[in-house]
Amino acid sequence: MQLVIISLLSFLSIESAHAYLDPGTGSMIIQAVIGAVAGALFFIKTYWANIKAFFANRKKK
Amino acid sequence: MQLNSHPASFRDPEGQIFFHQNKLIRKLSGNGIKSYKMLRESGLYEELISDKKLIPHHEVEESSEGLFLSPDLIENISYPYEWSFSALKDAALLTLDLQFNALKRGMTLKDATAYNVQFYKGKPCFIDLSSFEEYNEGEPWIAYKQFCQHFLAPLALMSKVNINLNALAKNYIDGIPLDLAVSMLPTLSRYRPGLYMHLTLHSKMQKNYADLGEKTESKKRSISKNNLLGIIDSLKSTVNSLSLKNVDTEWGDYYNNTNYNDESFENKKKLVESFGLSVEPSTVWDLGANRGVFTRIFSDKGINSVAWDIDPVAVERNYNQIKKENNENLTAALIDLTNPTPGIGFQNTERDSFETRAQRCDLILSLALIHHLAISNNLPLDRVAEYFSKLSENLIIEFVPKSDSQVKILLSSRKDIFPNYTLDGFKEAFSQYFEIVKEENVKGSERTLFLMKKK
Repeated sequence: MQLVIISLLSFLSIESAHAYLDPGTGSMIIQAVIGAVAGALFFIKTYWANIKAFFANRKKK
Repeated sequence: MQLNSHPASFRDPEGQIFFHQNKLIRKLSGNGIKSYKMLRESGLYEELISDKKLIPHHEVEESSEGLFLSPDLIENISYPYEWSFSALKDAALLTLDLQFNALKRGMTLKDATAYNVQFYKGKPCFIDLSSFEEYNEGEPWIAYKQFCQHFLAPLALMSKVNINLNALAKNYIDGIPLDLAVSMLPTLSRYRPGLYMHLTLHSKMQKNYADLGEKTESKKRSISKNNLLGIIDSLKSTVNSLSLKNVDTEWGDYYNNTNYNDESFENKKKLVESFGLSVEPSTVWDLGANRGVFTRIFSDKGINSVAWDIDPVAVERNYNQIKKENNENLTAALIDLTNPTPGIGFQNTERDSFETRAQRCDLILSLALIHHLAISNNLPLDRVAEYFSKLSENLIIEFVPKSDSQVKILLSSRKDIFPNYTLDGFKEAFSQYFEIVKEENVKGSERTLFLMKKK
């Protein structure tokens, strides 16, 4: 019983006070999972663009 | 001021829409006002307005009751189940774009429904100002599921299964349920990286956690800003990778296969133009417009026009052409006149029916159409006339006789049970509801073009 209450409370704390949309717990959790993968890819993508830009600038000098 | 609430605006109490005289008013209160001020102070509002991605809003009044804004009006309201594949795709990309830019400025979209987008001057435009709220790092995207159901699922289904599947949106007011979408995808598509993450896996997670309290371990639910941007970027690549298979539909190649010689085609165009301009229309609806060849007679003159057709490939081609031309006066949309879009949603008034929206049009074109309604679909001529009279004041209609090669094809495989389908029968049926203003034969063909005015 106490575990149920705690899990319910932890769910409440993550919701914004002014969100009217019911997002579904599963959708929130999956973002943490997908985010790790997608975030890494995204980081490399932007990092790679920065590296390319850095070398492009060096060539101009 | 005297405000009448809009039937679709009830889910978010802090940003409601009302009618007032001929304007739309958005009333912000509580956190809605805070969010709006942040939207302006962060510079996000200016950026979106100058990029033409958000509909301009004007401040009307600020009082103890709230902050009142008035958005510019969209001339042609259309819904995702009426859009072509590319139109839905562009609306999806716009939404992701907005979310990406919002995050960069410390804000986020609290909903991602397809109904937040309308087509304004030929381009997708976001209309829901109240969607923007403050972003707190660590929070996952609350609208992620909604985005997947409203945009990704129908696009994947249209691309991988069948182009007609956005019609499901009529049945599912909050987008296509993920498990339904996944069940319809071919197995290979389910496991491609993008669709796997955002649809297949997403759907599994949803089902697992559907019963609150079953899994009592507290799972990590916070997500960094970089990872959130990564998800948006991944959604963007996934949406971009979806495209239509080359589909051959009945009407895709229409203009190559009809019996118009060039001369009669030009004559018809001239007649349609002179009939149409004589009524000085402000909004023209072309029914059975195919790729919008005749609709463009009016839109090219700056007259707001909508090209409606039953064939999704024709609508798709028209939309792509609208984009290429940067056409600001034409909207392309899907309709089956024998089963037109009903009002849907709560009380069947959240999304307007075809007929309700027709109140805005004052001229209807029904070219090369009547034989499909009357013969292929057995609709009595007088009932068609009655329906058209409910849609518009003015009508330009082409009567296609049984001697025409197209009608011969329609009658070749069925019994001719249409004794009243003659020029006189047609005129008699329509005269019950319309006054015949002009009548002329289209030179080079057996067809007759009419200009009619509702009695």
